[in-house]
Amino acid sequence: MNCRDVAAKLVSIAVTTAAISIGSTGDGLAQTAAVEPRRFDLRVENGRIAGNVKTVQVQQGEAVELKWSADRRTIVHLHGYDIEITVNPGQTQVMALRARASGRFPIESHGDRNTVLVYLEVHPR
Amino acid sequence: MKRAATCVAAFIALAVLGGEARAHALAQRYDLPLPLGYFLAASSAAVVMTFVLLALFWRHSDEPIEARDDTILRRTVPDLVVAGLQLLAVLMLTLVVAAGLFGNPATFKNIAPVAVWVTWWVGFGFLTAFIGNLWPLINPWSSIFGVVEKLARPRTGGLSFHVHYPRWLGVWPSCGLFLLFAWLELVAPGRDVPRNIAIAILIYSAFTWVGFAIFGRDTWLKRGEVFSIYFGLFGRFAPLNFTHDSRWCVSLRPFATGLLPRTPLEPSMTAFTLLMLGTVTVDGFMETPLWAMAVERVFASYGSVDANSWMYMAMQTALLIAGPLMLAGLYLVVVALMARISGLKLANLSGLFVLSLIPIAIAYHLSHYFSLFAVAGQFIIPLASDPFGYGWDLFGTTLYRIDIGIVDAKSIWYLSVIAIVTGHVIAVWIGHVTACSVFGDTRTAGRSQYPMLVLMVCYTMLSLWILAQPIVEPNPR
Repeated sequence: MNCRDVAAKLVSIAVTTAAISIGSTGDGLAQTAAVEPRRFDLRVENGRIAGNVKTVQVQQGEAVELKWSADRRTIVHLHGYDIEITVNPGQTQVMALRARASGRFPIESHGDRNTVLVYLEVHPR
Repeated sequence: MKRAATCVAAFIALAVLGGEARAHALAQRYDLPLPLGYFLAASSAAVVMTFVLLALFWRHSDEPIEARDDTILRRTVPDLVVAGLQLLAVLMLTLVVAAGLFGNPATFKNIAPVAVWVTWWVGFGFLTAFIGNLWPLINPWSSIFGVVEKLARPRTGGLSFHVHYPRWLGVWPSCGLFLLFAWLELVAPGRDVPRNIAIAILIYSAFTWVGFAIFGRDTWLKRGEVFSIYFGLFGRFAPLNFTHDSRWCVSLRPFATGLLPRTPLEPSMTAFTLLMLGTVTVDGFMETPLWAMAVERVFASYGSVDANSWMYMAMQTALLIAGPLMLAGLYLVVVALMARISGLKLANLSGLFVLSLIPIAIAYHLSHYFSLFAVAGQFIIPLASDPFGYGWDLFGTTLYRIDIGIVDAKSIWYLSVIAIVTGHVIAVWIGHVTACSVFGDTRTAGRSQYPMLVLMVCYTMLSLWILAQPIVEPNPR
């Protein structure tokens, strides 16, 4: 087998693998679209997230619902996806999104000081 | 001297006064940490490749570096192209300053922050490292001074006093400026405020022109114009090399061959290189949980302090100085060991091997900033239509929405692993070629390289470790 054969074979393997992986991610998106959204209850107390939650982890393509409550009026901002909600004490607010883009996105409380409450991690499939 | 001190004071005061802007607003990266599997694959590949290369290199000796000619092709750059690029650069600088001074004060409604921090500092940096260093050709301060000097010549006979530049001063002024710049980039609150950016540019422009006027343009460009030195170092990696005799020429060479040292670097230049390498790492380290923990610990013992307070800045500043110093210390230990093995002088060796570390830094820089460039870089599209944030729509792109999914996390992981391993291999190769040329015989060259290889493996591992850490902001309270 000469060099050109090896190169051709490598390229064809690479193309096939790429095609399969692209195909499979496509299927993944189609399947999750019909599935129930992933729901998380998050509470802000004293300017910090209640419980020891550091990250919220979801898979790319999933529908996500973050249900927020707070002990005082808080502006909550999800960076990257750029969703901002205002939570008043005694009520809940839902941040709904489809986790289209992978990455690690800080969710901050905005006010006179900005503090990171929790990170939303969207993992690639 | 006094003037310089006033400038520095003004720089700092401005940065502090603009403190209401959020830290990290522009530099915010959404990267997922490198998963364990990728981390292990990359680190073992780096170690294995080190030994494989060592075994391969053991057998044959290379020619001396001075005798190498890596040029593949050489062309002159048409004057019209040069003039066009220079004009474009001057217009861009003017636009950024004007927008910063008179435009919308919001970071993302003004072209200045994105144009300076993302398009120029990161984007132009990538262009410089991977294609070629255009900076000496387009440097707007240099071209403006050149034009003014040409216009003034009939009356004054040149604008420069050509004061003798002391040899011992080397590029130390640039070292100071680079540290200041790194501080403005990584620590200063208000670095994303358009007006601060414009004022900093104006101060730096005046400083540069004063340097040109005192020592002559060519001398100052080699000594005190910090960006010429910085891009010059990065550009040594690139395949295109721009040089100027009577006209601008461009030559093509294999990647990284520009990093092979023809002569030892001066001590101040070695220091500049180590400073640059150190700050690249510090930049990433400042976002790791380890650093956040250290900050929170210190803050906890002092009670409640605000995140933008002087103490947080003092800690960051200390790290910014300690990081490069530590790297320099380690490097000197390694070079001292090499000097002992080979019997050659430490001063010479330290100026010869420092360039071999640059590929590792470039690989890390690419892995660290690629997604930021791809995501935050998109802001330039809407901003091009409305650079001042007045509500214009010059090119019909004002409504462009940033696509945060433009690069997938997996692609970034693959890119990081490939870049880091490649960077490491290139570093080992450069170290080896340099050693063969300096020490003459392959045996001494091989033995002398062991301490250097340990340093390279450690530096690569540190880069990988930082990439494998989740990005966090310290949350002191």
